[in-house]
Amino acid sequence: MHFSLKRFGSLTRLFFQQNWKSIAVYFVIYTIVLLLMSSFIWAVANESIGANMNQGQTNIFFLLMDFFIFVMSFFGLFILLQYIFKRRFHNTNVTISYLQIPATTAEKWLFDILIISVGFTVTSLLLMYGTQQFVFNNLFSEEATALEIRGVFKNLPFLKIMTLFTLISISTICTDYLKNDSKKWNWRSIGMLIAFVLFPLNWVLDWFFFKSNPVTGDTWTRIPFQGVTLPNPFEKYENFSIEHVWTLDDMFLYIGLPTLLMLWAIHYFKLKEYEV
Amino acid sequence: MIHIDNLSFYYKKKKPILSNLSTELAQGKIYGLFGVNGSGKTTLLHTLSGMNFPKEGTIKLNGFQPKDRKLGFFQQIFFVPDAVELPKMKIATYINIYSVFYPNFSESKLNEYLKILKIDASESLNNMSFGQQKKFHLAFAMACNTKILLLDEPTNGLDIPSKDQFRKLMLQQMTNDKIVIISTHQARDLDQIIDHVLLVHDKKILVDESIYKLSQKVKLTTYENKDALPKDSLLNYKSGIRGIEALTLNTTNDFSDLPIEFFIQTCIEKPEIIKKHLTN
Repeated sequence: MHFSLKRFGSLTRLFFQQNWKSIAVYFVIYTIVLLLMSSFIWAVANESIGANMNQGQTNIFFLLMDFFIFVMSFFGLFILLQYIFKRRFHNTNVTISYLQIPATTAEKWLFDILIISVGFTVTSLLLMYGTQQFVFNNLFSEEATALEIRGVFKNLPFLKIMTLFTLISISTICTDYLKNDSKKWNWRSIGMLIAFVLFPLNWVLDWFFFKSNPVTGDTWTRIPFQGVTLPNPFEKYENFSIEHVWTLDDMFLYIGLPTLLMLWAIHYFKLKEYEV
Repeated sequence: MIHIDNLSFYYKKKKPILSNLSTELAQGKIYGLFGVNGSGKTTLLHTLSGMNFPKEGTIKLNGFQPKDRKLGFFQQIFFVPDAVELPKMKIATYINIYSVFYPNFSESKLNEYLKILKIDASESLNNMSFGQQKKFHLAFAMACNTKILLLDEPTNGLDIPSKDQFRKLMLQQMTNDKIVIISTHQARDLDQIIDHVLLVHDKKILVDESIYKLSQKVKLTTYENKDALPKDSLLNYKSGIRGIEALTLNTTNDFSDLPIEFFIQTCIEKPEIIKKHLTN
């Protein structure tokens, strides 16, 4: 596989030259959202306001704030990415000028995945997380900390949220592609999902990244969405029951990640086979 | 070398645009690609440049299949579409970014071409008119020094002096290892630089002949009136300022300038006669 850092750099430069205005608008809006979020936290931390709130009110306050940030920031990111990808193929001439750039499909694909989808999602998350940490570490008073609000944020499953929105961004690309010749691609997608991704890869990923719980037995034989209940932990395997469970880990590992990988694979082949 | 073997292309199977089209294009020549609107000229260029994939048949350009979209293929080919939409940036930035992709790009050549076409290299592309953008794109395409250059209606939007400059540049950049295909309706704009005529008609190539051979096969003669027209060798005629201009078979085999526009018109209006007399 040919890979040239020089060509990759040029693709990056071209992308930012063409899209810097939309990216700037996004980050300005995002900064406003972060400032609002900081103000909310500060308001709760402020003794005169925060002291009048009980823990239940504070939790609702933060839940609403989370929702607001979540929707605003990621919806914005979603729109930005959709705009960027739509612009790339918005007419025949623009499509031709992109497709005929002499870079390998792998370089173009890697650029889309690393820089555009994952890059933007991670940057947005880091900014959000960083701001929250900064505000908590610098603005919170002892009294507010005592409300144990920190816990709300500590438990945020960042990895999963990141994956979810990377998935949305990639699916945006794919939706755009799938408009042409959808029959062929739907079948291919289903085929790929079944044959390559869903079954063998889950076990591999589980084995490598999510060393399975020893209680549930061997990684290679563990069945997704099945939980083992041991009434007595000291009597392993003697008196257990198996039940269906929908844990976040399982959903991420057995639905989210395979779908994401499948969409990335589709994106690669679509880049290779997109016609004007 | 470009080999096209039984190429068929369609968006809807019942309405093919190109059907069983075959030809071979040699290096060192400038090909004029002609045909009426909707005859498939642009589709053929899209297929040659790997933007569309053949539904049937094969294409090979210097050993590459365009549909594979290999890096080496794109480094050897440059396609300039009819309507130009360049990114909004300064010319210098455009050159810095895009030149990286073309190993044989020559900045000195580009500066030379821009000078001839009277394009200010310090300008921003978004401040330029359509014609200026087109001239810049053509100059850049030539400076990339690719082995195959595909131009779709290159003279559209160019003023008269620019058309002349473009013709000069085309001849200047031409080398023995290059193939240039120019699709155009403006036959007169390019008749001085074209070596070979490709005429797409009824989904196939009707005429695939060098200008030199065509000049030996047909000639333009002016007659005083219609009665004087030669019935046996007549291909087509029209009223001119000096009388009746007739395109006839060149029975004496003496060399004459090919009236390319009239010839193309004849091919489109009377394909059966052309098939009968001029195709092998």
